[in-house]
Amino acid sequence: MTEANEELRATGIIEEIKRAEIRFVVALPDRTTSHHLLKGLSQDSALRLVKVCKEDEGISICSGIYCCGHRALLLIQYTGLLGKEPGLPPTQSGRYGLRIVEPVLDAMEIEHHMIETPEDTSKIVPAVKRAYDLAMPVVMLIGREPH
Amino acid sequence: MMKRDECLKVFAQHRSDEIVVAVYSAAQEWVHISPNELNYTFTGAMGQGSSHGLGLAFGRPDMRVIILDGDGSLLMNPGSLVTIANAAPRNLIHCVCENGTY
Repeated sequence: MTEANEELRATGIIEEIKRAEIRFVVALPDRTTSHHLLKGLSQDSALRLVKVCKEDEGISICSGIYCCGHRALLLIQYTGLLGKEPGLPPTQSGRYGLRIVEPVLDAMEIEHHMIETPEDTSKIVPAVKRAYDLAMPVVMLIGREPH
Repeated sequence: MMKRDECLKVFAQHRSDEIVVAVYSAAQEWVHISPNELNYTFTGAMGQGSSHGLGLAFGRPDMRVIILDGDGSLLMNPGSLVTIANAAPRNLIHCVCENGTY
């Protein structure tokens, strides 16, 4: 069984993103993801990384790519989506912005998954497949900083 | 100042096989002026035309993508100009109508 403190590796996330047949990653750079995950994505020749200035811009770019039959992933921080306190479920956070993330996604009927351990990365491929099968967004909440 | 629909009618005469992204008022006029299955129009996401157009340009590098934007719409998403300039797609043309409101 995986220890709770086992490191989440950016390389593991990137490999699963590619296994999910995603070739475009649209990202709003932030300090949490920049060091390992975003740097790794930018150096991977199998992926086209597009950096944006604002989240809504990224949603729209992904929509255009989707309409052309390709798979795209949007990487954002937002208050909570990548800022969750390690080991603590977002719904138990003392920070309002984190606490409401999952209830808001539930209210919008958007499927979501926590990615906190190396094993959790195995959720990425089926989640992306389901998103495209159903033509619905799926959110993956990266609960700790990948290394 | 040229009226938008007059401008769009001239533009339609020169259209061939481009994907045309039109938003808000321009979309409502464009679908009548140049009905085409390659029209990509919407009215519910003001300011997002430029970003949708960029996504289409990425997804179909073999086709030309033209965005018919409004000045008010563009001001809702000015960062998209930086993103587009950084990506520099050769198949994307961004037209902005200025109606004097802004």
